[in-house]
Amino acid sequence: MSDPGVTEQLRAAAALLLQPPDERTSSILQSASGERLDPGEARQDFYDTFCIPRSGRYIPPYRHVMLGARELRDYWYFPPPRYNGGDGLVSWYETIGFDVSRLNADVLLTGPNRPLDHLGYLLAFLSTVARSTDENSELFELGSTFAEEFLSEWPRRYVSLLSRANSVYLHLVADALNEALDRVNEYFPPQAIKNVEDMQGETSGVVAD
Amino acid sequence: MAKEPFAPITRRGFLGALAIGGVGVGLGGFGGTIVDVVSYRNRGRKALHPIYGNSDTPEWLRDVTTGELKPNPQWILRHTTDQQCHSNCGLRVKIDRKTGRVQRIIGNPYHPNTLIDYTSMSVPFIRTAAHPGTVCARGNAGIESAYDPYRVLSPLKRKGPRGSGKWQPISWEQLIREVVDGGKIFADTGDPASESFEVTGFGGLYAKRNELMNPAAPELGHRTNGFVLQCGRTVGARKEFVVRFGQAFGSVNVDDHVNVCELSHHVATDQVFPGKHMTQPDVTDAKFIIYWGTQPGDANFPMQTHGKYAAHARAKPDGLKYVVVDPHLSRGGVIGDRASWVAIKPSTDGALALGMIRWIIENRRYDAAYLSHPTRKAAEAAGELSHTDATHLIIVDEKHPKYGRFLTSEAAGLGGFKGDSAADRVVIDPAGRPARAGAADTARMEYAGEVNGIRVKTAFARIRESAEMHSLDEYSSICGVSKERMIELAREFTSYGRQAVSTMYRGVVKHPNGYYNGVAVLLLNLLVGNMNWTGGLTAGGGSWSYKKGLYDNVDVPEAKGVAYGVMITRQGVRYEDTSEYQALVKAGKNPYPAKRPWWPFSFAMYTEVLPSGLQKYPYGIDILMWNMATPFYSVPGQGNPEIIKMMKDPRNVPLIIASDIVVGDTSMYADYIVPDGSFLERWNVDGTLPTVLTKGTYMRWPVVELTHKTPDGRHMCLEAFLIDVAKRLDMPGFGDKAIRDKNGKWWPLNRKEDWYLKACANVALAAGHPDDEVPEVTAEEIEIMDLKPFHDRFKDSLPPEQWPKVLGFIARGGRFEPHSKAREGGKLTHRFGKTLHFYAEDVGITRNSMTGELYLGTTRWVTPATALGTPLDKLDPPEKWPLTIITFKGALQSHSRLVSNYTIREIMPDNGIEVSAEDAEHLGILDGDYVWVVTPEGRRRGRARVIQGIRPGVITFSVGYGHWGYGATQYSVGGKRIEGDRVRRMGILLNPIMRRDPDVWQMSLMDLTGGSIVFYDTRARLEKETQGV
Repeated sequence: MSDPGVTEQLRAAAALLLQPPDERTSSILQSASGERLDPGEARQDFYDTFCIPRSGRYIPPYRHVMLGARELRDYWYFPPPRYNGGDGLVSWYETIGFDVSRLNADVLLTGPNRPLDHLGYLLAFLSTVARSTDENSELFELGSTFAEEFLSEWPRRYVSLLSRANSVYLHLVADALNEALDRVNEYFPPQAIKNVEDMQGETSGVVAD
Repeated sequence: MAKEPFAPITRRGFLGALAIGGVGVGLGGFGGTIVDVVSYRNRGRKALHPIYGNSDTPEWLRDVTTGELKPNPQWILRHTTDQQCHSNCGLRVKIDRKTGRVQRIIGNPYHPNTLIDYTSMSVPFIRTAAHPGTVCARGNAGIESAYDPYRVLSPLKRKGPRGSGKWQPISWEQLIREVVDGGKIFADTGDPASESFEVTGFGGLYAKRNELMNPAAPELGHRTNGFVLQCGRTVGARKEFVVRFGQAFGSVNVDDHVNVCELSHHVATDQVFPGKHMTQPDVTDAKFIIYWGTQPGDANFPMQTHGKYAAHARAKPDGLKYVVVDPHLSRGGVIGDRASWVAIKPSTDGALALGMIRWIIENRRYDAAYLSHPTRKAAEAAGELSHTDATHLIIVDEKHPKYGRFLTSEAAGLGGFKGDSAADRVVIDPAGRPARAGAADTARMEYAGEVNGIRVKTAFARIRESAEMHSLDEYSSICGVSKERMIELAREFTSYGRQAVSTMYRGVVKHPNGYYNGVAVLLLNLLVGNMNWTGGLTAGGGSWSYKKGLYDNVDVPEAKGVAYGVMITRQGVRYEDTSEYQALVKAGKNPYPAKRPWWPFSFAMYTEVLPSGLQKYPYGIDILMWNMATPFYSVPGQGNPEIIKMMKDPRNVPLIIASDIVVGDTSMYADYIVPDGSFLERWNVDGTLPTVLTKGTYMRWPVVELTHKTPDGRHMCLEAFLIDVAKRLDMPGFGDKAIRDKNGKWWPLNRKEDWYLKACANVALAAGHPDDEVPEVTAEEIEIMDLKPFHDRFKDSLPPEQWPKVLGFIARGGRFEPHSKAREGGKLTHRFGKTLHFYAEDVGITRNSMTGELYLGTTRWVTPATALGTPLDKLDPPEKWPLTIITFKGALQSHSRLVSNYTIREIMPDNGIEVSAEDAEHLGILDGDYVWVVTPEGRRRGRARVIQGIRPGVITFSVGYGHWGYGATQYSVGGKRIEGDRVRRMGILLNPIMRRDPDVWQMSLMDLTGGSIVFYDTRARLEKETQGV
């Protein structure tokens, strides 16, 4: 049975990584946390942390980057993001017709050749899967396999980096993401990975409309 | 800063609040500016050197004491020829001597494409160190074509139905055995539809080489015509090689791709300049050029050379001015005092050219003295460098049995034929009397009357009348160019004497009326008499032939007469000459329209291969082979579900073999894939292109070899496959007795080099001028190019005395006349001598197989229409379909096969739909918005690119994007999944939804005269995407 709660919650978590906070989002976060939140600063934090590699505050939300991230003596080293770093996800996304270019995301995150393993995309994908589990219970298995393969460990590490930032807004985002990852674990519990190819269908040919 | 592994989680519940509050990513679309820059780069590991980074060491080292340059022994340098597009530019390839890997590609300075003042053949290789040639981005990136991780390096056989994307590797022996012997060769595929299917292999078909395809239609040739080899850019000597196989096997159906490119351009040229398929301006010395349907810097013959020449000429004081006539402004059409852009409506170039012709004639701006000479002899006596048929009389009496032909002396009562058909035509001499053309120095251009009781007109009168069929205002209305601009163009074109040229490429001809457009554009040249003059028009410098000389590389005497008949594409044949037509007439039936068109003037009708075979008209296909061919991707309208479904059914085409370097967009539907070499692994020998004014023959050879080896040690490729099939069948022309030299000695053909080295010898040792002699290779060149192992491997392919020059030819990358030989003062050195035609007799007496009407011997404005004459505006009314799709070949993509070149893709990752700012504003589309392109055949989604440089009402896209094969989607080999690369799917390809002709099954819109497929006339509309996920 689908859980409207988890669908919406994962979608909201994805939105925190893909859209700058508008007045409403800031207001919700403020009332839920009791923290004072400046909407302008929150927007700037969003862009500096999630969008602009040269901001000096950038924490790349990409799996392939975070898997190679290392804490050095005085700073964190992130390997350069690669535009094709998340191409392994293509067939997963295609399985359910998930198209990242259609997500309602900030333009800086949606141009061509962005890596596909953005944490926001991964959460949005699982949100879409969760929405459809009502009609197709096999999708639970797909979601579990996906979560185990792509959302193990590194997102927690990412969240921990957010929580260290000098930003109330980012602390709140980190908390929300942690909660979302908990929901993922509850809703898509880990299980043995099956043969991936069995779930892919066949190679597509010319696309007929 | 604290260093905790994970921050403590103190607060929960935000997520629920956010979800309840409606925050989410999938709630709608978004607008605003899309930033298309690629933010991230794979910067890789730390560079090896803080200043020079990871650069290779240089090719040359300078001796610190003498200052002399010496080759760096780390590198092998070899010359070959590019094939990333069809410019055929010379390459210098830098290969790591230790690893054998290609590290860099630059230009070969001996090759004319790469430098204006290219290096003379006599200059030793070592002296060229500081003077390399240039190649374009595509040439530089070619390494990535060869080292594509998706390369197919050993034979594959499908494991599942056709197109299932599942492959199994097989041995070379199994490949050859199965395709030759046939039988139930799909039993191991697991495909229920074909596992018990009995396949006639090459052997079974070859056994029928003396059986007629259809006894009731013997002109269709033998059953072996059921073998069809559909080639893409398989040209020059490589095409000759595969044609040799076809001839020996008994099939005429071995041909390449030209009609998907711009065939009508060649056919129109052939009719105006008999025997020539291309003319070009002498760009560097011209004063004024009109580029129709192309522009310097875009695809052309050759692109970088045209661009280089135009830039050079434009920079000279009082140098070149040019005008680009094209709906799309690309790189060459820069606006300034030396260049301008005329944004014409697609398909209407003929109307503008005819308007100009009308104005030029009415204002007597043509060169009347030049046009008055009826023969070459008379023209040369007057100091002219060419002559036309302007004064020749044409029979215009429709009841006369020779209606549409030139009047001959015999018919005019002036005496019998004297051996020169052009001189034997009839003209009206200055005194008004009929005269044999060969006997007149000058003649009247304007005449309409009777000669010997036959109504006649001059060719010039015919073109004048054609031009006068519409007023300048009407022409202006048709083409969307103001009357004033039309007149200004005509005036300027006729203001530079012989140094003005009207030249064209694909944009003019890829329309249903393409041939007639092309002829009109070309005829402008005849009016100013620019042929063969410096700064005028050229047919090129010619080439040395690789076909014959020391060796006869073409004839296979034992196979004579086996391969003959009508090709499956019905090209080069008049419908009226067929048994089918005659039977219908005999039965009292209307023979028109034919089931599919016949193409009497055309060649290489690539786009008709598959639908003709599926429709079995004139016959079906037993064995289909593809080489460098991807019709589903490249042919407008052909990559559609119906035709792909039919091709997937072995009952329609029992055996499909693709020779390819990857699992391509079309080869993914084959039964077998034979690995082929990339252009760095292939052979070819062919002439340079006519933009170069000097004589030249380039060569391409395997500077590296990457495919796996056959059991006897040859690298797998198309030629190795054909040789082994031929040898298993004991076909003539292959094996131990195959190639005859000029002394009658027979030489073997067991390796491709046995044949190509003889093609090289034919060129390298051909007689010539001392200036263009091929120098013998030096010991130093052998060392730098590492030619010894090559020679040792193939030393038996040539006699020892021929090797020094053949290796010299390979070392230079071809044989090229010095650039100083291009001109003799105001005249071009290499001149075209045949009669230039205002009137194409052959066309004027031939009927259209669909309508039964005669084609036009001259040109006039012809409304673009379907095969049976429905105007396109009526077929797809502009009210419903307000836009017209055109395509372009920019500098970074020329065709289907550069998708593996990531360096290029990083520069331009996505092509997008280019739409005019005016249309975009009207439709509410912003740059970067996703839009749907909707045509009567389907719809495709892509990003809008809003630009100023396109005519409103027109949209365009660069070719080469939107792949589904070639590594773009996943497949499996031997059960191992190979993931597709998203980058290769980027962009949009509209070919599959381009307009098909409703009058002919599975035929795109076509130019029924010239044979070009139509890329420029699909009507469309744009719909902005507004939905989110």
